[in-house]
Amino acid sequence: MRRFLPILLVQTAIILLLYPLALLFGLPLARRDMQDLRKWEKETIVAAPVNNAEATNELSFARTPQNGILIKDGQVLNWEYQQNGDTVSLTQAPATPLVSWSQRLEPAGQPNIYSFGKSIAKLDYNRAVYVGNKLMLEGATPAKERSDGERRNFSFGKATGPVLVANRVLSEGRDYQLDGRGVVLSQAPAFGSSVRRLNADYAVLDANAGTIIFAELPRGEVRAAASALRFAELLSGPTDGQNRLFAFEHTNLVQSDNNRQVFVDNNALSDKAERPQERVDGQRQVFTFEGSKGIVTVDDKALSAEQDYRRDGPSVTFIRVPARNAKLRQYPDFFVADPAQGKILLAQAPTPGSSVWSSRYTVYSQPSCGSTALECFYALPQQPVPFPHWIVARILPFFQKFPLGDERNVIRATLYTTFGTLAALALGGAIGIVLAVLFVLLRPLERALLPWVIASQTVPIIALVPVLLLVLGNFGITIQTSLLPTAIIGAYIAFFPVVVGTVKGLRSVDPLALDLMKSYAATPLQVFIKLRFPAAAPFFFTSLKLGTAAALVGALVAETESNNRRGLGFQILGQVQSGNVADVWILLIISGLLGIGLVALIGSLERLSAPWGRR
Amino acid sequence: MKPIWTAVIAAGLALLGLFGPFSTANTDSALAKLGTPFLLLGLAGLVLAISGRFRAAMLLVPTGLLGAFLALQKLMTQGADGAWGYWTIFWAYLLMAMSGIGRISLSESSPAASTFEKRLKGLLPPVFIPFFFLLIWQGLVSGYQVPKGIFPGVNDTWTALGSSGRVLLQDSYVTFIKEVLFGFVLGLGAGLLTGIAIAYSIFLQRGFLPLAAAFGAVPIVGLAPVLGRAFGVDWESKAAVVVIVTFFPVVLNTVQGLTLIEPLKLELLKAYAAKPWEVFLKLRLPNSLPYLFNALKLAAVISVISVIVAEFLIPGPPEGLGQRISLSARRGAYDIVFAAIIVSSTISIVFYGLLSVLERRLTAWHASFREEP
Repeated sequence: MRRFLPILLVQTAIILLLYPLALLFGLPLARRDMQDLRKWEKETIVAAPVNNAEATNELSFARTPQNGILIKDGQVLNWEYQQNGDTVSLTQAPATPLVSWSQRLEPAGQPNIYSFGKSIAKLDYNRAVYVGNKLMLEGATPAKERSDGERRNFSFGKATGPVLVANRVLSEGRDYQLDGRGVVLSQAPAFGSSVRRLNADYAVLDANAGTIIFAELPRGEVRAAASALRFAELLSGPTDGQNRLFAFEHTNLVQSDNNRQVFVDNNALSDKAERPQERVDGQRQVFTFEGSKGIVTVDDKALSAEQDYRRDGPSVTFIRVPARNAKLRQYPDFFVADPAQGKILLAQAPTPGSSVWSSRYTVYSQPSCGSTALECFYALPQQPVPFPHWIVARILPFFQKFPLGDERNVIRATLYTTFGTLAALALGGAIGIVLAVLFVLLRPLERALLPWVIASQTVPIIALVPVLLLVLGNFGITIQTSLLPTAIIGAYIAFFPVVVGTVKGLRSVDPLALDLMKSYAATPLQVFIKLRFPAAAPFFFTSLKLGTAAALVGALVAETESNNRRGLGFQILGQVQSGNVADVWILLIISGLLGIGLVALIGSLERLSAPWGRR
Repeated sequence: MKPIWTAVIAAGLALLGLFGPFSTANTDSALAKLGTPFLLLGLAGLVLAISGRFRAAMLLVPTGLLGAFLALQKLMTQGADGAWGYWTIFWAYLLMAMSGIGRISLSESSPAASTFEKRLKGLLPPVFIPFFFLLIWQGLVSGYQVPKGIFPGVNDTWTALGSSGRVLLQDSYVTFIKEVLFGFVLGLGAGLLTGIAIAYSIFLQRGFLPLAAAFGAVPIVGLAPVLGRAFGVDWESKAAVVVIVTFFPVVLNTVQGLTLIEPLKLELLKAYAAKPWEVFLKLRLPNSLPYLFNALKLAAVISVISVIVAEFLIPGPPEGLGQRISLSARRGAYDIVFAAIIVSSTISIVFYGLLSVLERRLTAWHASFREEP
């Protein structure tokens, strides 16, 4: 107890230390993920249709911008209204119906599935579905986990509706069970198939077939609207005839947004960018664009006319020659000047009193990994240092991943590496002993070769592994069929400590004993067998233990360079490449235990064959 | 003086080989290819071997190396596999040189022998061994016409060293200064502090030491990809590998050096009423230096290998010797691989040598440096 308690305590301390360490290494990565806009969720802000199709004076919308404008069919309605928070009150009864209907949706087999009867892609983009007069909201949350063909646990955040796999609706109990905040499917979905869960009133089930699924059985007529009254967002910025800079309500605009719709009154602004007809070669000063008006930008910076360039119809003369391969563009209508602040620059200042509005634009709404660094740390696809309990949780599945018959099974891999290491150790030990005996017998040989033995260890053997495999392959020896390549590579590293240790041991003979042997006229062979070898045994075993670690490293390195899918080295590389850090740690622990086990094996061998070496 | 029999046999074989075919390119005999001077060289070797004197043995070495070198050079101009005539001559001359070295280093030096002779005995073998390696290497490659893409010869490697020397030097800067040296110093510092802490704490000695020893058996290479994940693929992760491989030997040896002290010395200092820091500075620290240097020399060699393995396993920006080797090997440029290996070995030998010199300076008093009886 007194012996093991400190070890246990220190071990626990080290394991506990892994927790802050995991955060120390993981949080910067998590923060980087959070700040990387490409990894943010995108949200399309759409002018939402009116909630209630019945004509009343009090209107509400699924989404209400702070400052809005009533539109229908892309036209501004000049109805008078007052906006009070989320409700819009018309001062007069609406002149036209709020919604013009397009078609009725027919039930499609299952109770809450309805069909448009044609592909969703052929419908109007701004599709709105009403049950009775009530607007239905669309939405499905994709699973946080990706379906890899094996996974059966999925989580969807706060979504609670039906679970959809590809174009299929799952039924609770038969196809899945609830498990805390997530679900466990009875059957793993195929690799790459989409797993979703409804978080609103309905979701598109099969876009090609034009089917949608409702979260609850719709009570009433299911109709789609051809157009509906919408409350579009009014961009902020004074329309005084001078100002050209306008801001969206939501920020972090997605710059290359194909669906952005910006209007000045009833005129849609074009989102397109024109490229110059000439190459930007760093010398040319005059460039020709398609149109003869618009904002000219260099590398996403708007230039100001007269100050930076002069325009003559479609040809633009830059005062400063644009650098080679600079990004030259002309935006005929508007240009996203500051995506982070949600600001756009119009080519022409709108006339006083006109309104600048948008019915659809896309923003980066929030980091997809979570809202705090800690959440993002949990969501990292691979934490550099995993929490210890994650490693523990992975142990059983990892061992069960492949059946014993498969050569990728961990136990088989461990055995393969063990044999490789032992072969390397045997070869390295033999070479080491022979060299050591030669060195002791022939002093000059030692003087000549020892520097080169040391130098040999400075050669990075891993670099020679491909060459060695090639050369051995010429003789028909491949790493697929033979342990010899592994043994040679391991032996190359392992023989060094054996030589050094054994030479020291063979020389550590008591001079008195040597004299005694001499006086009995012992032959050199007798001296070796009776005196030098016993004296060297403890040194030999100690150095062999050092060699074991080296041989293991050699075997692992050789396995990483081979492609025979066998051994721990191959496994480590494979798990690194597929990013299973916890599995890498398990493999490291296994190889560490293997190393410790082999050292212990040598130790017991020593106790059996040379018990005098132990104090 | 007895003749040097092995050298006599070697000279005989060298002469015999002259009458065999030289290369597979044509049926010309070796004599016709190499010319009469070669006959004289062989005869000279025979005479020297039979005379067997110390000076003669000394001349045998350059004679043998010269013979092997000239035969090899001739074969390289032929551009064909060597035939038995070539092989006999080549190996015979190498044997001749080897016998010369053997005789010089094995002869019992008489008390009357000059210091020059003694010094020569010590110096000759280590100086000439590399020539043997280089000759055998090139001899095999040229003799079997091994293509450069499989195993480059000495000449290919030399050319590669010349043509890509600049790049290799830049790579060495990254590998050795940025990665190895930085990691080494950091690992040494951390290891020393930890070692001192362990040496002064019985609890840590009991708890940490067995674990640290066990860590020695953990293959650090496997950790490289994990560190790459943690520190990024640039040089920092490779330096981290060096820190770890340096840390454990330093800790183990520091603890040993600080604690394995003759009790008598401790008692003496106690009798002089030495303060604890005096005991540390005057006894424990000097006592630990030999152990520490052992660890450092070991770590110097391992860290270079580990860093190159790490560069293999953490592909980052294409700089550093390991990356160079990995990239060159992938496109079959093994001459550059070998050149990079030579550069890396040379630098680590220098590194090792510097540590040895420093060790000799700082621990000259230690038993291991005393003259052997």
